[in-house]
Amino acid sequence: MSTSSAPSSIYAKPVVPRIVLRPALASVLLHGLLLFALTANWADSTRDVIVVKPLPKVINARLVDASEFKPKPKPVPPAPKPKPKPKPEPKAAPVAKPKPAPKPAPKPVVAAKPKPAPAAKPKPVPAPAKAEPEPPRVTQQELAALARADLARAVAEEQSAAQAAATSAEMAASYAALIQQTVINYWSRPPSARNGMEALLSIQLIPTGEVVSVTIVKSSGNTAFDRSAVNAVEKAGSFPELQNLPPREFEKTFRRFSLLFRPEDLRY
Amino acid sequence: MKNPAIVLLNLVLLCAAIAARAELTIEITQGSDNPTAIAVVPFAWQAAGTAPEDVALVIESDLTRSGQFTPVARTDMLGLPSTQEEVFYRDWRALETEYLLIGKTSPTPNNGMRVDYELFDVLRQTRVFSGYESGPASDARMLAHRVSDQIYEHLTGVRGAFATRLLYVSVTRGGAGNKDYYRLTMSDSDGARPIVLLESREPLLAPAWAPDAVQIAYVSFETGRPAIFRQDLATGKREQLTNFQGLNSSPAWSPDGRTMAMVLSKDGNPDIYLMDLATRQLTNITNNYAIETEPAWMPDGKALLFTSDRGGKPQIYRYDLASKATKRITFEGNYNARARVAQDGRNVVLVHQQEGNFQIAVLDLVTNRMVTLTSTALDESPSIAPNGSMVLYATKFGDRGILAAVSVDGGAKFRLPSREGDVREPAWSPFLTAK
Repeated sequence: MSTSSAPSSIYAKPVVPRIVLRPALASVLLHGLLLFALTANWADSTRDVIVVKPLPKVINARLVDASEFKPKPKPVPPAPKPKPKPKPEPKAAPVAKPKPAPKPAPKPVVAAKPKPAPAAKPKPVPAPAKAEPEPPRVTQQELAALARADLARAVAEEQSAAQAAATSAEMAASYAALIQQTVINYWSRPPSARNGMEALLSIQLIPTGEVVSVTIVKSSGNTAFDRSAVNAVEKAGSFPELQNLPPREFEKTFRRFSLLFRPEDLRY
Repeated sequence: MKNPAIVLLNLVLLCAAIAARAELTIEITQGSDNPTAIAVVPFAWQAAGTAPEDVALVIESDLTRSGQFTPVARTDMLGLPSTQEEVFYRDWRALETEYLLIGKTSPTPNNGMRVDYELFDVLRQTRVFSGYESGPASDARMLAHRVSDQIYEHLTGVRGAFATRLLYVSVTRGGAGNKDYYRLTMSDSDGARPIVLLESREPLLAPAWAPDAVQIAYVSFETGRPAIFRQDLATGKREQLTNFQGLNSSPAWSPDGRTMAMVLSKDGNPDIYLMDLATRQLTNITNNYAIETEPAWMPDGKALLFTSDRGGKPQIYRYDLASKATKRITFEGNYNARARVAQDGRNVVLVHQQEGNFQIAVLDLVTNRMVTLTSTALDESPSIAPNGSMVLYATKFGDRGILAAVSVDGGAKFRLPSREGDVREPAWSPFLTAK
């Protein structure tokens, strides 16, 4: 308002820009930051949101993770869990070899043991099952079944240790892969289905893993296709494995989530 | 001083908002395509005595033949509901049934019959839809096929082709000193209710449907040499279309019903001709020294496929009516013949020779991929259902010629019953009713 009333003074002029300059600078900065935050978050969220396609890989990773958690937490939590030696030893042996070798340096005992894989094998109970995931070409179904059984067992045995170690993202990804595989097994497409059709469903679960609601958020335009997608979830009915998830994790990710049905394996 | 703080606050709030909005999305890009379990409960007959036809059984076998459905055995059913009030979803869910079909049949005046039906989604515990069909009681099986069509279309997204008909030729060997006996027969799509349209001591060949499904054409040797006839199914009236020297064969009606493609050898070697059915004018479209035969129209009527040995071996060629250009379309193997095109204009079924065996294959015109559908040795004369889902063909079973069908994905196969003689040259009708 002073600018309009006193145009006579020459020195008044530079003052005005200077007053404007700082907010303007701030504004530009703010907008820039907002923009950055926005784009950065978008990239981040998409990475978070969409489960990676190479399915067996996800499951494989999960396998390693589940058993891998045991050697890692040892330094931090108290002794009670690691003590039962028969369990951690054979597990760590075949699985921990590839990945965690560099990490569990703190415990020399465990680090040393992973290497003699054959020595660990004779141990009766978990050894044969553990050794299986390593062969490179197992059929997807076998792998899935194996992964499921293994995951359930691993989670049951060492629930707290696993929970402590797993990052929330890893856990969410492994349970998402489990849901994905289960739904794939139940999804029977009608002959009118074509590659590239898309139906987006919103799924609501309760902590027992039961499906309480399935709604079509985005239709494919083909009612038979939409119905096949809903039926796949309804037929699955529940994902009881999610009971092993810490409540916080369940609420964050699986209380409500989306399923995108988009076939890529049809003849055309 | 204040500004950075506000920026930071804004940033935090924004991040929180975005994080809250980002919901986990799991992508499903594969499936395990299994047949859908459906329970077809015996329909209740709303009058004294027993129903003239087990409509539910006809529907159940229709759906099963398609390969898309597996039925629930009647002996496993815990109840036989015929109204919505009698449906206990829990019972059906226990049988792992996805859909439940119930219904009632009742007599109507003048020997009529009415079929009421309701389809339920067992998983979601809702009624998907209901409807009825009515007609003469003598046509009860056709009413059942029409119900099957409705169910099929609702559950698969593809129009059903159960309420259609088949044409085929059967030959009874005459025995010592006697001539063979030829019959041109029309039946329902499941082979039931055969009606003999024509009987002859001379060969009958190549039955073909007009697009209106009211007229048919065929080759008969009744005049002593092959001639193309057309016949009206409603009136039974016959008309001889050709009487040329040499070969007169393979009639194929254009999709608009005005032109008929045929093979004539009046000018020397067999060529494809188009006959304008109104003016009877002939046009030779394959003036060539090789043998051209077995014309088939593309569904848009703008091109034809035919078999030619101009390259030394029989292969399928495509002739474009506008450009008059001919292009070879099959390159796999030494023998590809007798093409028929599905209504989508994309799938072509043909006879493909592989390791000495003649088998039915389907060629995808877009991807140019050929998939062999059958595994028997002497398969011939494929004919595709009007909805493109099944292929009917002639094959040998023991020492007899029979008809068999296979789904275009190769998943489902069935044989049609045949009472006597050799059955050959099936032709699947178009849809009987316009949609």
